[in-house]
Amino acid sequence: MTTRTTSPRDRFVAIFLKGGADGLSMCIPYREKAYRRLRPTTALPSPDHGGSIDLDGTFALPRALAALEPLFRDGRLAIVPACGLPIADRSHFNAQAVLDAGTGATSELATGWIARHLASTPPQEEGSIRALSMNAFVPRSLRGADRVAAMPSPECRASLQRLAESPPLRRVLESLYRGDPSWSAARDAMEALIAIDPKTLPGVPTEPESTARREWRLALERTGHVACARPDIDVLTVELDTWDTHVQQGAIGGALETKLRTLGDGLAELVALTDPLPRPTTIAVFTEFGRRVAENGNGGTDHGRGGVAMFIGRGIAGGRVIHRWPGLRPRALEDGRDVRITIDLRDLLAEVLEKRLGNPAAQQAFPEHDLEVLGLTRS
Amino acid sequence: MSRNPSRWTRRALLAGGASGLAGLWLWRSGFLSSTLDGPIEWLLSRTSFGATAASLDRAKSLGYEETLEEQLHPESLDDDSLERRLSVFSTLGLSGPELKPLPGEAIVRELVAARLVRAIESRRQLFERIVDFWSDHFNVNHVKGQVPRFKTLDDRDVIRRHAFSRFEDLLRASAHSPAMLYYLDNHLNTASGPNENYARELLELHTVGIDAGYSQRDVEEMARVLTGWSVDESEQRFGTFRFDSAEHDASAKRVLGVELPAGGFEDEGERMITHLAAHPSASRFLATKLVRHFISEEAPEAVVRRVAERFSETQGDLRATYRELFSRSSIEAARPLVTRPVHFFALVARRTQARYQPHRALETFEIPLREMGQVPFQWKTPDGYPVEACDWISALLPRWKFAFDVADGRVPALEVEDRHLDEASSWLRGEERALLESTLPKVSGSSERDRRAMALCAPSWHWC
Repeated sequence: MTTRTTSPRDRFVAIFLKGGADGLSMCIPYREKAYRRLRPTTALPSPDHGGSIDLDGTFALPRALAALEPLFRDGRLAIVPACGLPIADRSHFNAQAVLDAGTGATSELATGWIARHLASTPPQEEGSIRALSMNAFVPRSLRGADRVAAMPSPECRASLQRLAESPPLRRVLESLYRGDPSWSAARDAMEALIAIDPKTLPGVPTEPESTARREWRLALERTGHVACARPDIDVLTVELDTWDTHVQQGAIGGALETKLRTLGDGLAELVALTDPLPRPTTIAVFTEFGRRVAENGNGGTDHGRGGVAMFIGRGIAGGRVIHRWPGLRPRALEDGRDVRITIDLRDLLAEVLEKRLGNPAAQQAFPEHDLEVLGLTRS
Repeated sequence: MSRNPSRWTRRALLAGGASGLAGLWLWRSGFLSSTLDGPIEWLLSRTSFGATAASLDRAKSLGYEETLEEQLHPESLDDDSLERRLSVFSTLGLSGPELKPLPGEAIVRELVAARLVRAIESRRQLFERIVDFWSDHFNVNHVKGQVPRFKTLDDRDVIRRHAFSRFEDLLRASAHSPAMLYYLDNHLNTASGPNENYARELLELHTVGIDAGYSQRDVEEMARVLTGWSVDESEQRFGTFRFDSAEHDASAKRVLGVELPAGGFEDEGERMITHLAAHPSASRFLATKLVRHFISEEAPEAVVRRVAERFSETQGDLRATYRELFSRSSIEAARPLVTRPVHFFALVARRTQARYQPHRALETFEIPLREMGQVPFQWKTPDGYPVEACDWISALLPRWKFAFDVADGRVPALEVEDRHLDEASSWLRGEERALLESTLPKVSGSSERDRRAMALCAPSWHWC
């Protein structure tokens, strides 16, 4: 396969906010009266007197994401509200499966969208790990991909020192797995074991009940360090869970604000680490759905539809809120309750694959959808 | 005691391995044809946390049907030695009010440790595998609020008590379980402020499944039915169900076609539980899930149909359903399943006759299980730990780490004798053993410990 050498081959960082992150708290439609009316305890302040950060006269960034403001002003961050996938059942598990599969309605495809992306682009370097998960498992978006693995922990590396240092021993293990369905997983795990030196990375939390905040911070920091150490790895994936704020979501000082601050600070740090690298990095942040416009009886929000996606990188036509905002008037809401989806998340992701990651066949990542180019990337 | 438990035709997957996509496709499409070398071995692989020399001998002398029948009646199996080992855990048998003043963390530690001791040591092996299944089906992550205290009650009085009764009883117990009501926020679900978290999962995960064709409206109506279903946190009745009629939405409702006239109370929820437990979609949904968990990820249609029929015919009699699930004809359709970390740990411990002290068990179990990704009851979302092989197999390094740690004697407070580790190699497939014997001696600098570690890394331990 030949590719045009001129097309950019950014590194891709895919960050999945699992549980349904509340879009209205990430990109505040502060002029909407309905927002304040339907969210008596969870609405975030408007930009007046610095309660939030005005983005474009229509939307504001919450103070918790203040670390991202310089990226937005710099034209490197694009924020997309009212986006998502056309699945209407509001089930986490179905929506996550559909998003990972890269379909629009069913999770029938046995491979993930990032796996299909990798299959249609040549590796940066033959034979090495192409995608690394920063979580304990390889996410389902990479299901079916070759040369992918989960990040080895420093403890793993220490216990498997003899294996890491002895090629003959690894060959024995490889032969043991030859012919097993887990053969490629075993080979890739060994490759990750020798490819990633955890000594260059921050340590893992030692307390059993480490808070999500620490785990996330660590995952995002590690992503940056791995990106620096291994320019050949094409894709890094991060899953951050517990966005399912049914109870006590809160406004200022609430549970969601803490999560958002961790996310914002972690992203800013990730960008700071990867920005000086010769190989550009494009970051996508997405979730399976947004949350209901009206808060529930417990200061929380139930499952909704349209959510927010964010894209960061020098190749992103940022500094803009990209939207076809449907509004929050009762008749504008889907089923009378949720933000209507007006932008298909797949269009955004596909544009990144095609324009930033050099994928000549982005359609294969999202086979059940006619892609529309929204101008998310710089030409 | 040598056996050859899983001779699979795997050569084409090797070819497919060059392209993961192709390999996966073959895998997903059920390429793994297995050659049963004996239905008894397969039966034990699905009804226990791993056959041991003793359990295999016993099963062979009893025969297939009697082995299964014995395990289908766990109450008839004497488990006194396990009970004595568990007696160091003082919280397992406590009531809600007794648990109330105790630190949640200590309660959790005992429950998690007991889970592992039971998986490894119980003679009621099928019972423990089934408990594992329902603990995921009715997943309650025990981190939140009062849940650490309630979870011990849920494990004992819901899951373990009803695992072999009727599904309706199990479901009803779960719906009244403070752990579940608290975990999925139903204790906050009120007429003035509905919270649909539990109602949604009751339909989607616990009974009829997402494909049953219900609507968002059904979810909202189900949530209204369950308004006022709450938890008693008072001194005297801590950790019991409480129906708060003042918080119940008494207006008329319609859920999944069932009309509920205005003025109803707790009876509306009870009626819906009866309806859901008997719903045709539930029998299908549960049968598919059982088959995927115990027989084959492919969930062969013929097996699912038989299990679902048995479930329906018997009004959800779980024992009868399991009898069908593990029948010879079901077992003939069995395909290799991944050993999830708890299973893998139990398998290694059982076959190496590992010694550990129950009161230090958590010390022994917790770190390896966290690293491998499955500390009991700590999956955060209500869908429970996954069963798909591709998820677990994507995290082989921590499993190999465990193998090296066991061989190197690094697992805290776990004693494994070298001779038992050596004997455990006899559970490997013939070609795995032959390969280790022919290649390892040629690896310069490799030690006995390497040999033992590598034997525990072999694929056989990761599949059952």
